Amino acid sequence: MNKFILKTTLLSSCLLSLVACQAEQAPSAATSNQAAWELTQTSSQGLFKVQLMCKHLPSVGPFQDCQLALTNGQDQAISEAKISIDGGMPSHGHGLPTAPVVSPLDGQGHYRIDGLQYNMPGAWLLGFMIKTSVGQDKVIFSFEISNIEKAACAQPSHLPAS
Amino acid sequence: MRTAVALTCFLILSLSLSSCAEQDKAAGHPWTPSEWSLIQSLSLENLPAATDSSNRYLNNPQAIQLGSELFFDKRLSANGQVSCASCHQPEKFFSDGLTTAQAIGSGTRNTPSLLGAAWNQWFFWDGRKDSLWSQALAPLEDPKEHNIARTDLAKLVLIDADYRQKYQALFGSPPPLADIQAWPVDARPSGSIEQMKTWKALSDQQRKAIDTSFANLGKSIAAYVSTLKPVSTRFDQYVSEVKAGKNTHLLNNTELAGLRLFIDPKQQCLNCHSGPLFTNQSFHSIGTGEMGKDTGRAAIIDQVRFDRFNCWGDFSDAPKESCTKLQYMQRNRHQLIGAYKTPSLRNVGNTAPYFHNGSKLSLADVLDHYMNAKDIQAGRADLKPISLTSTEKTALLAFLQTLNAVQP
Repeated sequence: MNKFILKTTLLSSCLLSLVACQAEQAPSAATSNQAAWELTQTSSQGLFKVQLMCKHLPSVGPFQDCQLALTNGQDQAISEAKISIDGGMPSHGHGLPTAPVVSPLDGQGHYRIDGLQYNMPGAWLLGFMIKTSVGQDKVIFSFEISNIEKAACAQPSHLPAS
Repeated sequence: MRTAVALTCFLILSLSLSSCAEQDKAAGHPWTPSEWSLIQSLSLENLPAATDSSNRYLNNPQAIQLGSELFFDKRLSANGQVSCASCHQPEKFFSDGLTTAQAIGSGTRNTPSLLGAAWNQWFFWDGRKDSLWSQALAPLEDPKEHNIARTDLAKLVLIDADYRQKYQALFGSPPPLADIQAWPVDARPSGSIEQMKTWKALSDQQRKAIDTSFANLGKSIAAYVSTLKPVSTRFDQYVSEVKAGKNTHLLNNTELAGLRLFIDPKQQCLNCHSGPLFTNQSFHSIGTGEMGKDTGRAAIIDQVRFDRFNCWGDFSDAPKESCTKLQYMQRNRHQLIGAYKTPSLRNVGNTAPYFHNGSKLSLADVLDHYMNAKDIQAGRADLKPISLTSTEKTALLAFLQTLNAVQP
């Protein structure tokens, strides 16, 4: 019986969390300097750790409000990188609808991304080529864009002011 | 204890259900919350007002009036027989029903309806203009359309007493009449050698004055065209009634089946025909471009960036740093070969023929293209072939007809 009560309690916690989560799903609920969506990945050759942070879930239409945080293997911020961006939908054979630009933001390893748009729901790739005095490496993020507004329930991260 | 557990479960379930009911206010309709979310995203209710920071006169009533008069004035053409309304005919939803446009000459592109045109982000099938006012200028000088020289147009409007008075009330004093009368006839920056020579012979100041009036006429025409709203449809009424909790029969079972197919990711319709205008405002290849003849967006990338009348230009009312659409436009030609702007599907049943070259006479032909086109089959387009049974095709065509204009 105790196990049953424990399961019920866990289930109720999950359901309550889900309800609470759904109640907070409006993208505008994200405060000005918080990322509602983020992905972190190590670059192909392991030179860099790249964190992609966006104020809203990726969506079709508007310019995306996103930044990168760049560190090396020792978690030290890298601020002098030259970063280019490209992407697209491999299953549709087309690239990004715009030509976004990545530029340094604050000298603490943060970079702003301007001009990034998506024009279709589905599976996207977003790649960054990173060049520093240490070497160059790339990172390719893979994610899905839904055409349904979904809950932004990821743990918020702090985004430096642009 | 069992009672307590059961009560807890019941309370939790009730809370979850009430939350679902809160989200799904249109309970009783045949859609899941996800499907309903997609359907609602297409409703005209979601369309914001049209804006254009590069045209401060967009909503100016005097500009709308002047633009309306210019729009229907056949004097604005080389032969006095062509107005904007010659191709954008009000009785045909501001289109012409032809395969390709016919004015002074024969064009190569299908005439789009102007209903909702102001909501576009790019203009012309290839998006070679970044604003409605700048778009309005191009047909005036196009040898196959109005074919009127820039000096002739400026002289006509700024000398005509009625136009001059209206122009002055809006834009301030035009150049003195004597100066305008001294401008040469048949001078334009592109055209025959003689026409271009005459244009080059003008002083910088004269060219600037003529270009200013030219741009202002475009802004007036754009102000009028922005009053031509996207049509309200039976589909919008259906969404509205379902939202209001009504047990509506506005769409029959075939049309509802078509709507279900339309939002089904398998058919890929929503990939491009999304949002309240049923367009993602983007450029895609659907296998209709012609290498060496008409490569669509790829051919005009520099043209739009270096257009004297774009958002960055001297005649734009927008701060240059706000022209983000131009700043970040995709410039990779390889990616854009054969790509054309996704057209709106509002009123689509009333605006045949279809595609940039008007090559498809019916919506059934369009669906056949998406199922069988050689370039799509070969993977040379931005979509994969779609697969529809004849029943599904009938349903999808029936749904598309629900997007036609409803008479008020």
